[in-house]
Amino acid sequence: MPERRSLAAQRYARRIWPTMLSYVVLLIISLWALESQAVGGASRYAIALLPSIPLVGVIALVAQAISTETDEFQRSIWAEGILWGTGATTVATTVWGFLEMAGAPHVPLYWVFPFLTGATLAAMVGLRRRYQ
Amino acid sequence: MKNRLKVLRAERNWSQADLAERLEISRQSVNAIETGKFDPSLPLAFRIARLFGQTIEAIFEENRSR
Repeated sequence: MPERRSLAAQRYARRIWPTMLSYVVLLIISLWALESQAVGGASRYAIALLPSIPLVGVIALVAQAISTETDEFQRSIWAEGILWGTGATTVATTVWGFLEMAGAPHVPLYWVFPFLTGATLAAMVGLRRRYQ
Repeated sequence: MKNRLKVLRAERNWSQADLAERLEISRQSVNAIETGKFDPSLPLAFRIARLFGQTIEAIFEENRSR
């Protein structure tokens, strides 16, 4: 039997993938443009900021999904998932920062966002399983 | 929170999906409430009680040991 998903979840599912994809595409374009020295001067900053548009978009989509979700159980999964994701990301990035002091390779900060997304999704999958 | 949702549902021959539709919540929510893993809010508890024509106390059992 097909699961009936709430309107908030449907809208989120429809919009999240194009937004995530545009983050990846803009990040690749901006990294390429900056590394190839194709642009110079102040426009380098504008190019570097390109991926932040879909980044803010993803955060806004999540905020919208939570605030328009009418199902309180689903909303609690969202909230708890974000809590776990944020906690895991804070621990992982800070611990890696400590390790870098000992000589571990430097990881650029733009990896924080994909890590946060992945950790939150993993937490939500785990939470759903726990409540089954 | 322990509750009699499953019994009440069975008496009416409703599936979890049927109950979910009547309460306008997801089937996963019904399952999580029914198994006692998720406590419904007071407004939802009232909706559940009204649907079965009973009081909240008659459906949900307070777990005093917690």
